Amino acid sequence: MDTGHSRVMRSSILSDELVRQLVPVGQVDIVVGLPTMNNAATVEPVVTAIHAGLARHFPLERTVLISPDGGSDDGTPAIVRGAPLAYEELRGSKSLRTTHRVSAPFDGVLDRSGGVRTVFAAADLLQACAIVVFSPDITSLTPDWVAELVHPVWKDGLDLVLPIHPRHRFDGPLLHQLVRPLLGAAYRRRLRADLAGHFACSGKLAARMSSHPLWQRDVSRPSFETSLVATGLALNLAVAQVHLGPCRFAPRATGPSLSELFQDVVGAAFESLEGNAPDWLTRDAAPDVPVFGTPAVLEGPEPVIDLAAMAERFTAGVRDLDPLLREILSPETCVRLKAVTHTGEGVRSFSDALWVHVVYEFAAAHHHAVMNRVHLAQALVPLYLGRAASFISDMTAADDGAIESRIEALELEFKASRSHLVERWNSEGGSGR
Amino acid sequence: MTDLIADTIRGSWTNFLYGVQIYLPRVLAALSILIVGWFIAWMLSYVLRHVLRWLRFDRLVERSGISDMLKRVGFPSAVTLISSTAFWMVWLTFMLSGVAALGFAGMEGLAVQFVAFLPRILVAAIIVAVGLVTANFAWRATLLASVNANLPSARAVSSLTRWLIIVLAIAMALEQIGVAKAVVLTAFAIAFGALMLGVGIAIGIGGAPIARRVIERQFPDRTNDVKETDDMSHL
Repeated sequence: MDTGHSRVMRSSILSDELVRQLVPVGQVDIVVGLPTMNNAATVEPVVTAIHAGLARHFPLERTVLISPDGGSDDGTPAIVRGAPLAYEELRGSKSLRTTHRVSAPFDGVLDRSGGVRTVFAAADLLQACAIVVFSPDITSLTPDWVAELVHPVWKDGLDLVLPIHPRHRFDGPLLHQLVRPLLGAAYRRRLRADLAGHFACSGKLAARMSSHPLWQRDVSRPSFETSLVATGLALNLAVAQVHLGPCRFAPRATGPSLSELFQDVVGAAFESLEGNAPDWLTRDAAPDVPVFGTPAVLEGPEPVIDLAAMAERFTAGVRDLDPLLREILSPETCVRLKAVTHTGEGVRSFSDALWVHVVYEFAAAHHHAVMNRVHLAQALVPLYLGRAASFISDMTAADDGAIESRIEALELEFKASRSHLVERWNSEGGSGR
Repeated sequence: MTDLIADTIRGSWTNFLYGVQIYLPRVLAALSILIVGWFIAWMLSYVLRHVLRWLRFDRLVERSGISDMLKRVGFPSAVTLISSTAFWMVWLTFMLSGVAALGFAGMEGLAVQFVAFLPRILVAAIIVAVGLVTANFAWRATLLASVNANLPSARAVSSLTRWLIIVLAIAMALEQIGVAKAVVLTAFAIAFGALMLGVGIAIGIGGAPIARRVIERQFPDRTNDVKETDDMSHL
């Protein structure tokens, strides 16, 4: 139940400048969020595509584009406000609505999700029914994406819509080897979606997320999205996935290291299990998350992957992190893990069953706080590299269908061994000893 | 002659009985102080042990990594160590009071001095405990960062970090309780300086190419290459 107090609290997240710009907008149906920070080079076509999508697919709805800015010094807010409405359909559309655009500063840092929280708080203030969020550096956004993400929320009353993009065969192993099967098995709902930076959600979910405990610390974009997905699954909300075209971003000067990515994504996945334990520990099977649309095809060269380097880092990691792994994993899993590193040169065969036990025991160790949780997530990195190398090595000659079947088999293994997670979770101590 | 012997024996016995008369109450007082002190120390240790167990102090110590270090040097668990230390501190204070009760010359102020010294011992113990926690945290953080950055000799680097902090903490603790202050400080300064000089010379002479590789890997030109080892997107 939403209270006046929580609404006041969320409103206080908004800067005075943003509130001043939002007041003339009034109540709206759809909010498009576009958090920015020095995106002058890429944001204009994104704004244009969003307005084209709104004009083409939602001519009668009251809409607003809200762009909270994290302090750009390259003129991004001015570009957002002045981006041309160049699409033919926009000029000839039957839209009678005013094209609202709001761009104002928020107190946040680049790649922290304060911008998304601001969008959620603004949507709550404007009593929006549907919210869709995009990244300002996406280069493949088309007007139709707006409709495909928003329609299930606006027309069908769903709570959360996530994208599925065509990807190269071996892209996203962190998702398909760890995050999706772990959350899917825990919450008993199969998930295929990508954490791409864009999604649509209901006003109800946005209001809930804007006061989520995760905001008590700095939150990165992937960390926020993982929490969002986990919340949707944990609360048994109406979640759906939609096939969109290939997703491309402008080259970024710096990206998070794999270690930081683990802290964010894997840490958020483990935290969601911690926060929602009463929901998933006793949960029965739930229907799979529905998928809308037709899968697209991705052209272009496949990524270069250095399997030998990944395998080497795995072997060195298991050797060097031995004292930490003994604190986290059960003695049996430690022995099996060491056996994998002694199976000869090159890429080692890292079985599904062993990987599932490793992930579950890390999740339980996170719950029992056997060590600093940032350290715990970092300790999983070399093991993940070993598992990813093994998976890719096994599937080198396989086509998309075979890879999909293999991923499905892994998900089944996660489901079949769910009792191991529950057992470790409920055990006293829970560490390796 | 016989009278002289008899007088001497009588005098000795009189002196002895006088001594007994004087010291027996003191000995009994000292014994009672020792027994009561032992009982109070035992009670305190018992209560402390149970309170710490109730607070799950062992789990906390285990998470901080101190447990492993204690095991490695053959110490009992942290709870046992703390309760035993408390027992011996309290009983030692009573023992010194008991000895003082005997009234031997030079022993009177011992208990007072010991009690006055206790706060410094306590501060030193806290310094060592904080040092151990910090050392273990730094060891783990360095080990993980080194392994995930694919640096060579991750274990050696992290162990060195841990022992440097432990040595620093011990030097600070010894300085706090004033044990061979000048010696400790000088030894620490010499050892630390020698270690740093050795590392510098080793890198300068033998490890320059390795150091360059490590630095290059640590500060890559990220304008064109944003991935770690390959083109694959992990997310």
